[in-house]
Amino acid sequence: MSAIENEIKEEIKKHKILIYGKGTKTAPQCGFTVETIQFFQKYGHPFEVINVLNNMEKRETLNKLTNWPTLPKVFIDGKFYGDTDILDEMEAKGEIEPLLSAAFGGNK
Amino acid sequence: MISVADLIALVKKEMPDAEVDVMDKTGMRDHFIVHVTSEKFDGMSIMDRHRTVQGSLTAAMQDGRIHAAEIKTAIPSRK
Repeated sequence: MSAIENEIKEEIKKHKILIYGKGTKTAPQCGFTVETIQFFQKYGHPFEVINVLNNMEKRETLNKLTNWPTLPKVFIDGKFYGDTDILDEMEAKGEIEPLLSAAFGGNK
Repeated sequence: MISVADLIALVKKEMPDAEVDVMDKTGMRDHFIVHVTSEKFDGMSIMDRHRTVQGSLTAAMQDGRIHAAEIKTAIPSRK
């Protein structure tokens, strides 16, 4: 496994909600990254944004790891969930709430 | 750039039974909203549905004909 794959694996393990996107949490550079940040802000759980805008090698590795061509890329509790296109549909089916409370050890 | 008709044809090649509605978001023919309704999605996870649609557009995404495609999937509503 390459150093970059290790780096990604560590990042995914470290953050329960992780967004690989263009720009940072405070200075996003792309509308879809903004949408994804806003999506998770609604739920109030902590999340991390990792800027890969200028890191083509990391973006290529992420594309290979996830077999998903675009950014942003969202990981929840170590699992890949694509972008807001998917998250919005999952939310409409009520799949996000249980997923997040499970990830954060929800006090059911 | 790609025409709406060509984009629909790409999706239908993968999913002949699907109903595909495409909206050109900016009029520049490279930012699209793609609504795909198909019986085949029934029982498929949201992720798999999107992978299927993404898969049909991969070539056009890689060669730049499509810059961004917002995908929405649905199953035909039972009457």
